[in-house]
Amino acid sequence: MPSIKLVNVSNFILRKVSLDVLDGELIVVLGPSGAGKTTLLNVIAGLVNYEGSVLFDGEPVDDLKPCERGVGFVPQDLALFTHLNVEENIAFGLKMKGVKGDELRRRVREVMELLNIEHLAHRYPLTLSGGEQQRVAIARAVALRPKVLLMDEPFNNLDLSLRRRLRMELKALQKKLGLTTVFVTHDVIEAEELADRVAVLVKGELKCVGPFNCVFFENEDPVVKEVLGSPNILKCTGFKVVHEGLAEVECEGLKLLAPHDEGVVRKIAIPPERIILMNKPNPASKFNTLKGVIEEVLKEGSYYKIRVSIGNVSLLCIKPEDEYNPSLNVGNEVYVKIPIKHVRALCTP
Amino acid sequence: MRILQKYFKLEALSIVALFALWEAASRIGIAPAYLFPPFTETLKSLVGLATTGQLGLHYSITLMRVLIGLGMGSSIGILLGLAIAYSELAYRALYPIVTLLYAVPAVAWIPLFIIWIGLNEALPIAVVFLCSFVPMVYTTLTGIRSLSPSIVRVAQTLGARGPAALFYILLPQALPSILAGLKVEAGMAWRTCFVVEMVAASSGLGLLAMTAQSTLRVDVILAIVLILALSNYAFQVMIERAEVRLLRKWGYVR
Repeated sequence: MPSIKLVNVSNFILRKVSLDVLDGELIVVLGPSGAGKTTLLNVIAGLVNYEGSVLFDGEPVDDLKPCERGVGFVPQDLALFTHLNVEENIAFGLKMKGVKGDELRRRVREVMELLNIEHLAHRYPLTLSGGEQQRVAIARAVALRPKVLLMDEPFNNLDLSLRRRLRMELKALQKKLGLTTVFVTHDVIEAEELADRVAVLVKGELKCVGPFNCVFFENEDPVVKEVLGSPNILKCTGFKVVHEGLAEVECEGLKLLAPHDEGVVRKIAIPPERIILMNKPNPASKFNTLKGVIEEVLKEGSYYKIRVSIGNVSLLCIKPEDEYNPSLNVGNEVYVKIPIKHVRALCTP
Repeated sequence: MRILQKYFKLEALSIVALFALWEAASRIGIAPAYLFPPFTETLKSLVGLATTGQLGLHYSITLMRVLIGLGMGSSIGILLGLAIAYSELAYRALYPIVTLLYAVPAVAWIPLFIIWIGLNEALPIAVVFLCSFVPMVYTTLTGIRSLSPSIVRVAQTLGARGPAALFYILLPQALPSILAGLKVEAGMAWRTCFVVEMVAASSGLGLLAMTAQSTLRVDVILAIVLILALSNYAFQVMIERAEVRLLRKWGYVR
């Protein structure tokens, strides 16, 4: 499988995007809607016009048509051919390439086995469940043994548990086939679970590229932080394992419990929408409860952004309008509860 | 399916009720029988017409005109719609012309066509052709334009370009909307053919109705109108069956 290189790619939405995707790597392009994520995929596939250059394995492919580039494409709405059954959907690309007879049947069967959909061969796409449709779309995309797999938020319309399962399946398939993959999403969790590396795209500009933890914990750019859900990042100085999988950490003066894997906890991230604000502490659940003062309350759309200062730390909390408590005024004391399971820890050996 | 069966029963019932009302209204004498004959008398005239062989002859002529005009008009309309949907050049060159033609009712061409084509077999077929052709271009175009753009993109990455994408992907994907349009246009074809025959043909159901009018045979006129209505209805049902069958096979409806 080849590497992909984008050099100064610009068009109606993208602005001088340069990106290297390594051979066999799964890169997740993370960004809000309208950032140009789909356009980036369309550029790699050769489906839209652009300036700049796209190279597969160092060879420019700018003059090649979409079908000559060797890309497998799974769009957001899957775009399954509803008038063809599963087998015919998967065979379509092969037939267009002139594959016939026994070889066609063998290759279609191979791909169906790979995705565990042999039993659906004669069903029509609209009679399948959401997860089955996903698998068919992926099967159709990989049937031509593409050099590059492009996926545009394919798991968007599925429930959480199914998304999780399909993510794992996709990751396994991608590693097995060694497919260089560009996966587009706005979902941070999806990026964390899938990505070898993450690229953050905002308003057509590539903001940063790197391993998920690196981007998540180290990037200070407010625009990138917003894409990642504006997590509160705290540096940790002290750390002690109190139980398997649980550590007591001291972060910028706050003593908190955080999940722990291996190594030393360097930083923790607290998602602002998970912080619980209370007028008095809950005696039944005292862990990670801190006393603070409300610094600032801002209304943004249907959300309140509340800043609470605890010692030297200022924590951002986000509450939807209907959960907002009117007693949360600037200057008031408030108890902040940080649920352990939502704390993310960056550990280094 | 059960609901569908119920629906059909109700449909049959409402038609029977209409005929019963017609029969009753005529029998109580709201108008003289020669102006408003009862349903049963109309049926008798219909049988009479059929036994003389007149009905069969003229009916088959009209049916032929409808089939040829509708068949040619809709298939060429679909092809042109495909071309316009596919090529930007074709769209820009032909779409304005189609839009202009769309505003003109097909029967408005009759006077012109009488001069150009003359009073012969080609005339009703030409008018029916036009009345199916223009709307089918529209229907096909809209059907294809309403497809998700990613369908075309995926087809492109899989190697379907040009006519292959058009015939293997776009046409079948637009088929549900095309069939829905065809159902409407089949009705239009019957109506238009009838009108042409009334004013400018030497045969067909329309002519038969005009002849009956000159001899004040209201029963015959009603019988012919009944036949026209039933023929149209039969066409609708046939196309709808094909449509439902296709949609069910593809899983659009269960």
